[in-house]
Amino acid sequence: MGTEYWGWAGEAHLREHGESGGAVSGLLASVLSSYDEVIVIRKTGTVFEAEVHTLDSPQGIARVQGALHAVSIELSHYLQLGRKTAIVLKPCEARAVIENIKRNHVRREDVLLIGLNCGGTLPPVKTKEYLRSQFGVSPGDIAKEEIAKGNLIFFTTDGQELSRSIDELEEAGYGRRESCRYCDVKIPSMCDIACGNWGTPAEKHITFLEVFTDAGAAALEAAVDGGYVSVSEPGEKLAAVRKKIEGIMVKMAKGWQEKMLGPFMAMEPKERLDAIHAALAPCIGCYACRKACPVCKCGDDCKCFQADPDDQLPISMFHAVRFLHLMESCVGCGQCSDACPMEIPLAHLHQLFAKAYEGRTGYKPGMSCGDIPPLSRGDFPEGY
Amino acid sequence: MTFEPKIIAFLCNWCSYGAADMAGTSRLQYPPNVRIIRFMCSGRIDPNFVIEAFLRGADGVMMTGCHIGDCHYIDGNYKTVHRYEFLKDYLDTLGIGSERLTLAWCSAAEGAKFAQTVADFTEQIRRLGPSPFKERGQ
Ligand code: FES
Repeated sequence: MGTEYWGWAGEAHLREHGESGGAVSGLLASVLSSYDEVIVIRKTGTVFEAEVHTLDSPQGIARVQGALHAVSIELSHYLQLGRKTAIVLKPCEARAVIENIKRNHVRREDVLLIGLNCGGTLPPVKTKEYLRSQFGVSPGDIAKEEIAKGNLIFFTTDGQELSRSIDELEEAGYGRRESCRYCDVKIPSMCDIACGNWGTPAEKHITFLEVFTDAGAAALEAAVDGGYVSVSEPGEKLAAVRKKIEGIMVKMAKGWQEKMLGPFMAMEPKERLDAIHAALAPCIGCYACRKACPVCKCGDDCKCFQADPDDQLPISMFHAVRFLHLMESCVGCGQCSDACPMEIPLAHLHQLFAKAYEGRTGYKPGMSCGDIPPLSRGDFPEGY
Repeated sequence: MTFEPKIIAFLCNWCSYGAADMAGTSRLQYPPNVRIIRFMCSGRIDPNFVIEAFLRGADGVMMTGCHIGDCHYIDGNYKTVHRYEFLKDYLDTLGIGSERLTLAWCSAAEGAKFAQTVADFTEQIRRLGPSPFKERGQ
C-alpha cells in the first residue's frame, strides 16, 4: 500500500478545468521542470474523440484530459526509449509499460507513471448507437460522461443528465468494453502515483492520490513545494470507501471472468481446440491485432511476424506464437479485439491463456518490474 | 490402418545425441516413430519449434538434453526447463494436452535410457491417439 493524500491544483483555473480539482494537471505542470515531456490525451470534439498530445511546457495544460471513457487509446505506444517522460495511464496501459520495461524497451527511471483508477472504458460505436436508440440523443450533444456508483451517466450540452445502471446495460449487450468487464486491476499500483475520485467527498473537487514509489513521492513533493498542488491527509472513512469500491469492482470483474472465460476453460481439451480454431477462422491476416498490441514490441524481427497468417496450418503459426508470447505478457487491454476488422474476440483468447497461466502460477503480467517473464527465466530449476 | 505415432525429438548435440548414438552402436532396439532433430544445446529449442512440430502433424514432441549441471554451455538447459514448464501450460490451454510433450535428460553414456525413454513415450502417445490437430485433415 502507498501513502495516501487528498490533492487539488494550486492554480484556480486548473482547479476549475481539471477533473476532480485538477490535481493531475497541477502535477503535470510541475513535473515538466524535471521531465522532457508529458504524454496525455486531448479531447478534439465530442467525448468520443481525442488525440495523443505531447506537452513540453505547461501551456495548454488546462485543455488536456486524464482519460475519456469512450476513447480507448493505448498511450504506452508513444513512449520512446531515452526520453524522460511523464505519462498519464489507465491500469492496462501502465501494465503494458511495465511489460515493456521488463523487456528493455523503456527504462523505468526514465518514466513517471501517473496512473488513473479505472472502472472500465466504453466501446465508442456501441455507445453511440445506444445513445441514439435508447435516449434519442445525438452523440454529438454529449458534453461529459461519467461512471459513478455503478451508473453510466451522460451530460448533454443543454444540461440534461442521462443515467443507466451499468449492470442493466451490460445485460443488454451494451455498457463497458468486454475486456474491461473482466479486468481485475482497478487501482494501478504498479504506477508511481495512482489518482482518482474514489474516496473523495462528492461535493468538493478533490483527487485521491496514492503514492507508491520514491519517484512518485519526489514528484508530488516538488509539486507541493512549487505551489502546483495542495495536499491534505485523506479522510479515514473515505479512504476506506475507496478500498471498498475497488473491492466491489474486482469482485464484479471476477464474476465476469467466470462468465466469459469459464465456459472455455470448462470445455474438454478437444472441444476447446475446436472453439479456438473456429474463432480464428475469419482471420484475413492483416496483422492489425499485432500492430495494436501494446506489449508486442519486438518490431519486424518478431517471430510471430515471420509466420504467414495464411499458412494453412490448423492454427496459423502467427496466432500460435502470439498466444505463446501473450500468455506471459497479455495485460488484457482489448486493443486487439478493437482493431480486428473481422471482429475475432482476440483479447478473449489471449486472456484465456494468460489467466490460465496466472491461475496456476500466480504470475500476472505488468504488475511489477521485478517479475522475470517466464520465457526469459534462466535461473536454477528446482526439482530437476 | 493402425495408428503409428509420429514423434519429433529435439536432441542436444553433446549429451542426448551422444546417447542416441550410443543406443545405435550398442544395437539397442527402439521404436522407429521418432524423428530426430539435432541442436547444439537444448537451450536452443525455441518454444516455437515445439509448437510448429505439433502444427505440422507431430503426435508428440520430446525435448532432451544433458543432465542439469552437465550442459556444455553451463546453464542452457535451465532455460529448457522453464520453457518446458511454460509449454506444458500452453498446450493444456490450447487443448493439445501437455502429455504430448516430454522432457528427458540423457548423458552420452545413457544409450539404454534414451532407447527406453523413446519406447515409453511412443507407448504413451499410442495410447493417447493421434494429435487433435491431425483430425483436422492435416
Ligand atoms: S549442451 Fe546439452 S543441454 Fe546444453
